[in-house]
Amino acid sequence: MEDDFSLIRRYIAGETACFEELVKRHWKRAISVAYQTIGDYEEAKDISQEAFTRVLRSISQFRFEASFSTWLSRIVVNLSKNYLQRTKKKFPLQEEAELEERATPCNLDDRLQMADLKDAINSLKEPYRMCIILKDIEGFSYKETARILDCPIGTVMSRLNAARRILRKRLKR
Amino acid sequence: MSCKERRCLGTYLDGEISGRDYERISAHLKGCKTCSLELEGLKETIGLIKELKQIEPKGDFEDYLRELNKKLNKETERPGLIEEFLNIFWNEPALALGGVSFIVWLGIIRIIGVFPQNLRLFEYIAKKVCLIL
Repeated sequence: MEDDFSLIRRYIAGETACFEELVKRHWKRAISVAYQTIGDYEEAKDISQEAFTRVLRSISQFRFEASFSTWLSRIVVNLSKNYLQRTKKKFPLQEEAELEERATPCNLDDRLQMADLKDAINSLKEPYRMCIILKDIEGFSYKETARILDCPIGTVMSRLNAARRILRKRLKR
Repeated sequence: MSCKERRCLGTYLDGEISGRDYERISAHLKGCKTCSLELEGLKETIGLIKELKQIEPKGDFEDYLRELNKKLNKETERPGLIEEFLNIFWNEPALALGGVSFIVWLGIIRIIGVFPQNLRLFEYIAKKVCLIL
């Protein structure tokens, strides 16, 4: 499969259809990152689409250093943070029953444990919560997480360690 | 629990640690029960968090792309003059009112003629109106 960089190069050279392929590869993750950050599906979808329009506007400035996914996620995270600041809403904004059902196990004990875990993650301070979302849920590497959050890799490591310890303590109670 | 290795256990589990440090922590874990227990707990917690997974979108890609294209087309369309004017009114009402007043002012001067500097505008308009009447 052709990599993202060559798709971007072809798009810049005038093959506009390549952008559709980029969207197809990354739309799910863009929605997911926004949803995990703000907790509202419709808003998350809007944010992901706004991120793609911004990407398109500045694609000629792409430096081919980090991956496209990291660049897109950075825009999504910033838009999501702005949304939370602008609306002054606390996470989670609303329960998305349909989505929640898909993610939770059938066993009642496990369900309760997952519910506790979600509450615990939601109650973390934003910098810690973002590290858990990006590294543990979305599966980005330390380096990618650091790029997305625009902070040193050491900061990601220490925040992640602290956040996991907090979560472990909460689940042990 | 004062082992300095404790702070690196998460990074150790993620495999994002250099070979030398990895070996050092592995050796430490063999001899330290507290850190071993901490590692097990951490492994369990990380496993649970990872079960949360990415969410799956509600609709399909075609719908998503259609909506995105609508947004992109809206952005590239140049707004008409009236739409642009209304946008200015909405975003900068003071500026728009100033602009309208200026145009009205120019209109009055155009109709009545350039008024002399030693007369105030209202006096001048009043005199002209009286003359017309």
